[in-house]
Amino acid sequence: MRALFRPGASPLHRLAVAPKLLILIALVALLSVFGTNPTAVLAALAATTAFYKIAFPADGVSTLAKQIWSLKWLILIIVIPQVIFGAAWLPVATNALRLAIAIALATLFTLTTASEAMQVAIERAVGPLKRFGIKPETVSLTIAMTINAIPMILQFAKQTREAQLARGAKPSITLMTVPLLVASLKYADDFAEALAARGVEV
Amino acid sequence: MLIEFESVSVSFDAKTALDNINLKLDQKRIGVIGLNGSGKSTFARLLNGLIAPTEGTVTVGDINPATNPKAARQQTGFIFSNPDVQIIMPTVIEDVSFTLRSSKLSKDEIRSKALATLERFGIAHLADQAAHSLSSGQKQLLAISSIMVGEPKLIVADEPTALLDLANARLVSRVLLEQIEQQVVLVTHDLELAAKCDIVLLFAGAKLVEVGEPAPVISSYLAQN
Amino acid sequence: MSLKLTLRDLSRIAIFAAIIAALTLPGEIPLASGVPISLQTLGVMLAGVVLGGYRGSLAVALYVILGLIGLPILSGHASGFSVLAGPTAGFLIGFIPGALVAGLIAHSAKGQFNVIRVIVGSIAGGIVVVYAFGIPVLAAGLKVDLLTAAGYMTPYLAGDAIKVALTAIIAAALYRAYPKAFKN
Ligand SMILES: Nc1ncnc2c1ncn2[C@@H]1O[C@H](COP(=O)(O)OP(=O)(O)O)[C@@H](O)[C@H]1O
Ligand SMILES: [Mg+2]
Repeated sequence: MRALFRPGASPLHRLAVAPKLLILIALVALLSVFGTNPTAVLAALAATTAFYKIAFPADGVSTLAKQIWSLKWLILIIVIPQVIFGAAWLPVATNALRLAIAIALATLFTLTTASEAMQVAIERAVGPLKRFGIKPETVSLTIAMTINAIPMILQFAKQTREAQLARGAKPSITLMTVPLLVASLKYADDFAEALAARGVEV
Repeated sequence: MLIEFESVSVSFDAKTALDNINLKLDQKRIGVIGLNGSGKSTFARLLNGLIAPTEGTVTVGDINPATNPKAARQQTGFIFSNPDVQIIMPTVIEDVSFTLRSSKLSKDEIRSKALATLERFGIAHLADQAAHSLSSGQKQLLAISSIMVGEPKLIVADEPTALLDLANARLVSRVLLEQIEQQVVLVTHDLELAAKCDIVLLFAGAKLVEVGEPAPVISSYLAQN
Repeated sequence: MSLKLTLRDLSRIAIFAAIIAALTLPGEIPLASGVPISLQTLGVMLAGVVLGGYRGSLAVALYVILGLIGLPILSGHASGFSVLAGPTAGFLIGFIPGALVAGLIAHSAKGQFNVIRVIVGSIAGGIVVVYAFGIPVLAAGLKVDLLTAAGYMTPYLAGDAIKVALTAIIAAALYRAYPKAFKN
């Protein structure tokens, strides 16, 4: 399990989470307003390329190209039905490019923001929920628990599969999922007890 | 610390897990033995308020864990059999530091205190590793470190070596019985370990059937089963 | 139903978010036939049906948030925050009320496990609600009308129907193996 974040020292890396997010949302919104104009979309592509170059001076352009290439299936799924239904190619191509740019812009946010920074931002964002009895520490503890539990559950899955293979059973979704759920939920209940034993309170 | 049980009973729905226990203990090493389902874990969980008595009163030091679980959990560290369920944070050092989260120490002080504790239990070299990548024995040492860093007065360990191999079981039990200066309540199926305690409690069918010097209690356990 | 969460609730919510993530990671949970379907929706339906509407939807919300902040746990090719900018954003967001509805219906028989309610809940929450959020966003994203966007979804309907059946089978088996999971 690796997060998508790519460390760096660019201005985009250093920008605080909240303003970065707001700028991103504004850009994506702008893009959807002017998104039917091919010239505007090409301008957006140029701007996005520049942003990638700023974030990753060494390989910004190829990073962006990789991002867009990874969207090929999504773009095909979008384009093919529209072409089949007889849409003109220019609006369809413009629209597909607009989507790809919007996604690439949003990816830039993820690429330049460390998970820890986002966790801190989330903790700050849920601060006002204190009034409703939800503590920010509880939120971040729950997030940490989830991140820890993912490799744990994958290990349960592996053990379950090995046990079933050893007994000659052919793994299937149901055969796999039921023991996995039992083991995971028991784990959750034991874990809650261990948390209580270590003095954690909600 | 004085551990005192006054007419303590615990039942779950219709099932009695502990039946009228009366006890006064202040020994440093307290062994607890008995068959599966005899009530050992229920006894252990009463000591830090994870379970409250249905009847009677438990007192540990001057704390009643049922009415003041927060204080009880501060003075009592609990070690479970399954090392996996005890890990809260992603890395070894973070998990140990987690115990000190509400202390007034600075970040650096917390880190150095956590490192010193890991050093003490021989796993300082693993400090920055992912906690879930440790072996079971190392995870149990991590659990011990995470508890010891909070300087509890009492350690309760519920079959802490049940899932470990012989070498790791020996290592962990040596740490618990010899290295730790605190009072320890050790629930175990390992009679060799029980024999090293100052006093042994034998549970059978929700009742405390014998309390005393290890040798006679263990031999009557062997004779009964 | 109390809105106050206990430690055990939180722990189950966290674990279920992780279960959905594990079910979504391609190739991690081996399937017999190697069908290239994502089990994400199965995880969402199960969260509601097992944990109930309130806790189930919190588990799904936690999963979605972790995916959005960049853990590679969302299905499909785009991950991280970019999903919200894509045309399938509505489905991802719809998972949250979807689990809520699935759970409210599945748990509506007081303390009783009822497989019919599980099926109705999974259809209403896991399909109707999710599509109700997903299709309008899809239509807006592709700049097509609602009916055309709904048309794009018909191939997925069969897969989702299978997941309803799987949810019912798995939930029934889980109830026999660990009934505590469905209670508080
Ligand atoms: N949470 C619970 N709910 C219902 N029954 C329980 C619970 N915990 C323990 N019991 C029952 O209480 C009895 C004593 O259990 P326990 O103290 O765990 O025994 P031991 O640790 O000696 O194996 C057992 O019969 C067990 O089934
Ligand atoms: Mg036990």
